[in-house]
Amino acid sequence: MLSLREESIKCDGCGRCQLACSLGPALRVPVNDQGIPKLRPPLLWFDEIEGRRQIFVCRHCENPICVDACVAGALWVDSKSGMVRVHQNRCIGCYSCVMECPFGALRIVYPVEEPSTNGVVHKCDGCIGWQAPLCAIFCPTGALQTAKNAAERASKRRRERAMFVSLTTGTVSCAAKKHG
Amino acid sequence: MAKYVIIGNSAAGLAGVKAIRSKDPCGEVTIISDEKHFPYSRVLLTNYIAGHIEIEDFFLEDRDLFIRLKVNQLLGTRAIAIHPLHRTVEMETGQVITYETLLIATGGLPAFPINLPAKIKGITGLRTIEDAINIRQQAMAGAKVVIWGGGLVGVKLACALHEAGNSPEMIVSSPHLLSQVADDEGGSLVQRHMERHGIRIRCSADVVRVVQDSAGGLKSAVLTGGEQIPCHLLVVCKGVRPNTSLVDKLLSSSGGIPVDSRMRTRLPNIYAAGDVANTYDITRQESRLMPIWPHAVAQGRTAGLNMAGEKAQYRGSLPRNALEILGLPFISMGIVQAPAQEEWEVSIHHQGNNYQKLVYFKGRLVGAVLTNRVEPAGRLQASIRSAAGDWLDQYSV
Repeated sequence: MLSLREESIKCDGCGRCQLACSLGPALRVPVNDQGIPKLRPPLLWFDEIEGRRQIFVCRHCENPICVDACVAGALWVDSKSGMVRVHQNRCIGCYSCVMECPFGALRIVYPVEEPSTNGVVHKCDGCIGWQAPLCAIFCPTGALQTAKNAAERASKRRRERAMFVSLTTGTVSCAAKKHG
Repeated sequence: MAKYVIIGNSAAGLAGVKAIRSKDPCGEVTIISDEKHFPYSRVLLTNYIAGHIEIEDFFLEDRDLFIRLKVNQLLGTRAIAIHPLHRTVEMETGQVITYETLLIATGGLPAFPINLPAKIKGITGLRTIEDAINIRQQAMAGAKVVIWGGGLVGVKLACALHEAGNSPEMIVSSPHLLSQVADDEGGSLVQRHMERHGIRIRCSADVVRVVQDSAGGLKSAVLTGGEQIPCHLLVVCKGVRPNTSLVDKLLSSSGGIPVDSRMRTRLPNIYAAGDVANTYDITRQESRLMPIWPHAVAQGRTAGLNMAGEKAQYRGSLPRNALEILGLPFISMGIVQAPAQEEWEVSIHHQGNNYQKLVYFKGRLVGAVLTNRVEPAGRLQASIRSAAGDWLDQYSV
């Protein structure tokens, strides 16, 4: 399966990963009735948290808690590829998965043309048919890289765990006022 | 060949069956439920009432899942007793089923206040497909609906009816909505958002009795002050209580069935999971009922793995809820209201619909409330769990 290594510290925020992702695995630019190119929303995001840039992208976990939390049967694990996939037509936009994922890899996106309609979950689709994820192919700084072999994938799992620990401690500081 | 019996076919029961089958492909698995339906998602009932989904969208898996997994199905019949000494389950039909390990995943029942006369036409809870179909039919026919209770189900139902074109009215005994899962400010923010959409909400009010018309139907609900609200349908959303009737004679289970971190009850070879189980809350450091979907799935899986001979540990419960309220996302988790004591600290950022409250106990994050910008929720949950890590040692029945 495709596997991604992520080192947010190398990210300079150029956004090429998002653009590549928006093209989709077919690398096609669909146009609307007026002939204007219309890309799909990207399936990964980056943002600054307390001065540190952070990339939010799906790790395709071995035991994905987002799938456990899905009340609509929309998230599922593709046992052939090991990827966490989504049936968008089943999603009701309830935010349960958003609440679970420590990597911030799922977001509810509302259609731009009709913001009043229900949003559905968007997450990495794993670039079916590609040897490497497009975001990693286009990343110029090495913040996103492909894990090439089994050893690297195993090290990715270790990193993921270490990452989980660093995410789950420290980054939320206690800048609090008493009994606010 | 091992004999597994599972009572209940919702989130926990289904997760239990799948976990057992992942470890034991041959053992005899039987699933029992008084509902005749294939496992479905109760959380989606309000989405059906809103008209967003159809009945077939309720069902969580392919219809042939139980056949593929070689599971005996006893759906639509009720288990009436468990005999731990003989290791049998007695069915209402007189049938007796023997087990080697048993999972009780009987879920919850709507809690009905005692001042309401039972079985009046026009008074209902919202728990099953039949309830949802009934409410939707009446709402579409223009019935005046009053929702009693301002918790998660009440709020979701009010929004669903509003989206379906009905004008429901809410009666809430607390001073603001979502008093069990949100702090005062977060709950009030949700309430103002719903009121802006035209949903009528009466707080600090309760239904004391109902008035019937001459045909026996519902005419109005009488509030604490004596005010009468005309209504055809009164939906009671005052929470759920654990459905412990099968074990009431066997162990004290008033607050749900106590289980340990492997989902074992005090009865030999009997496990419990889901809304019926009383589990350890990692933020409050005490065992209690936390009937939410992700808990049910995780507990069901833990129970199933242990029944099949694994040593699986449940990671402890963290009460949490995510809602989409007429376009406004809302997420709360852990302890949301800090007592005015030295060790507690609170951080609040509030701007328009963006509200973020973090609650700390002795410098450790123990709770959060978020509206509108909810993307940090997953990271915050991970923080709460990792801060609670060293508390897990105390987790036992």
